[in-house]
Amino acid sequence: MKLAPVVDFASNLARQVYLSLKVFYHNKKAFTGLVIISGFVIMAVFAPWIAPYNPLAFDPAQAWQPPSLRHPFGTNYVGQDVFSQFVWGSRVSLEVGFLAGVIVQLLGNTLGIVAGYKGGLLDEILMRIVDIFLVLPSFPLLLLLIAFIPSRGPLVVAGIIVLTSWPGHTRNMRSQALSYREREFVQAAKAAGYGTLRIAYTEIFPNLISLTMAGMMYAITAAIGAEAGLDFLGLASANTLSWGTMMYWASSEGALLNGSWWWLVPPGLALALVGFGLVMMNYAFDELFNPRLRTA
Amino acid sequence: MRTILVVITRRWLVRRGTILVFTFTFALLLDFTLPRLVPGNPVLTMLTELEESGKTVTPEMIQGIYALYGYNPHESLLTQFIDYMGQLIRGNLGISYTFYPQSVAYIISISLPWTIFLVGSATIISWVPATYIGMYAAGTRNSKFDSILTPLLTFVSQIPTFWLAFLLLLFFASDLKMFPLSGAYSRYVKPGPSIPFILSVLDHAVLPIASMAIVSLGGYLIHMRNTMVGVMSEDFVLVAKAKGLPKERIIRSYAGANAILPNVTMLAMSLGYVFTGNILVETTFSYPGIGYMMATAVFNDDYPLIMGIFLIFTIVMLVANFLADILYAVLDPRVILE
Repeated sequence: MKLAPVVDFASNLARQVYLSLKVFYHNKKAFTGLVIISGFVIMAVFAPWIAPYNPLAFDPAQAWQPPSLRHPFGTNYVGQDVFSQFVWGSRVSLEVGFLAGVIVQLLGNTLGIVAGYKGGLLDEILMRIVDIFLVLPSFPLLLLLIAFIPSRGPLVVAGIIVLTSWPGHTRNMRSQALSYREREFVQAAKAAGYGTLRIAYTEIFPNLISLTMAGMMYAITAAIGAEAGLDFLGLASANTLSWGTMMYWASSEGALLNGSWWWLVPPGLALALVGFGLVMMNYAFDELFNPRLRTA
Repeated sequence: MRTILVVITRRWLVRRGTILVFTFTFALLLDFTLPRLVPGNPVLTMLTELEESGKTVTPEMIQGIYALYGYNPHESLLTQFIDYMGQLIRGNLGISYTFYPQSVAYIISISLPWTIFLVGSATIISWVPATYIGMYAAGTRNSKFDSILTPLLTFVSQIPTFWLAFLLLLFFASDLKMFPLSGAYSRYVKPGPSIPFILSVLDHAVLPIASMAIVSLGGYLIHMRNTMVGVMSEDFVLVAKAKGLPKERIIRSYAGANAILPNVTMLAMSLGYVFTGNILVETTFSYPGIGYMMATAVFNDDYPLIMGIFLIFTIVMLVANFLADILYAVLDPRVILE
């Protein structure tokens, strides 16, 4: 008899997991998103094997070549192979995006749940800071900070992006955590003497996974966009090769006057596709955890 | 529609006002602190950079920079900050390095109208149709219309605005020569309220506005559609359907009227993204708005101009958010701001 609740719980959980997986695999949006994102990730990871040329090697004799079999995406103003640049460039864009996205998550999850669960002065102070950061215009703030920072490598850029984009997710997590504060299982854990962080991560967090996933996709999209924007403005360190810097050089070296669209189209299209893939996955998570949307 | 007095309580005003003041002070503190975090005497550092960039540094300039930052090593930080605020209140944002000898306040005053024109037009052009189409896309959920349009526009909303701007330039300006490549008006017309000038301004604004409007259209539309999908699953819509009301009426007067409210808030919330797009698009077109000035300033380490424009962006954000909250309460009879 005593086992019944446990069995109940386990079978319930198994059923939930099974249903979720089923929805995820049969969900067109989730599938589309997953295929796009894994495609780009594979490209970034295996860049040395995929790129046919050294992306930085000059070959002035081959400058401004339109796409051909030898150069699938053509060449740029100094004869660098655009396809190789495109493949290698995915690394910085994805690295900065994922890194900043994940840190924003960790920060937002921890601060948000702890603030919502603990309440009191800590919550009050944190939320006032969030209030301030939420209304500060993030991209101008990003530019302001970057102007005063001498080093502009990808890591620094990721750090600054985190600084300007953590508050939104923190607030979402906090308001959700608040609703779990008085639940029995949280109270029980508290009575059992668990520490705050342990309760936050083992008791409350598992209930908020869908929100975390959505927040993560959103944060990554925003970070990739911000990084590309900075690079496009020519604010990356000079030797960075990314989708953003490709467009910066295309713009400043006269791809327009030359009509060489092949230099310009791939990086921007890739950014749009990555964003699209992440949003699709985001929707899928939403449908997965919001039964109203699934059945309506 | 209710009057503003009914929907706002004093408590809300005080709390909101406090947040406003705090945020603005924080932005000021950022502007005040950042130059001081650079090792050494910040004013000297800036002067050195100025000289390195090949500008002649005049005594007035040095004085101006000292005055602007309230920088005085012999005074306490608090006094320096108060001095700095005093300068700002008098409208003195310093002198731009890039556009020397123009003042930052002057640069902002001539560039801000261009940006308001661009952003305003792009927002109106995109928000109104997006709200309408989004309403019908959700109302006819999973129809052919919805299942083609929605993924397509989701993709459009993810396009980097500056990239689209670039493509439009390449095609319509560079290839077809239908529109000019850059600037806000032709250098052959004299600025003033004359027909040739207005035509030239419109001609130059088509591509920048189009690139911003197309991307925002995607974003607003998807947001409207998703809100609408949520509202369509509410009980009162089910009741309306059960009563056998015509579909058109359910979509417009029942669900639509409710779903439109979050899309109003979305307008203010999206302003941050609009700024991002605006800075990048104006740069692509060398359009002399405030975003282009910001990018130019960062590119040239023009600190006074960067800091001044950042303050302006902050003020616009604060005001927009404040107004959006009030508008929401005025529109939605269930909301009282307290």
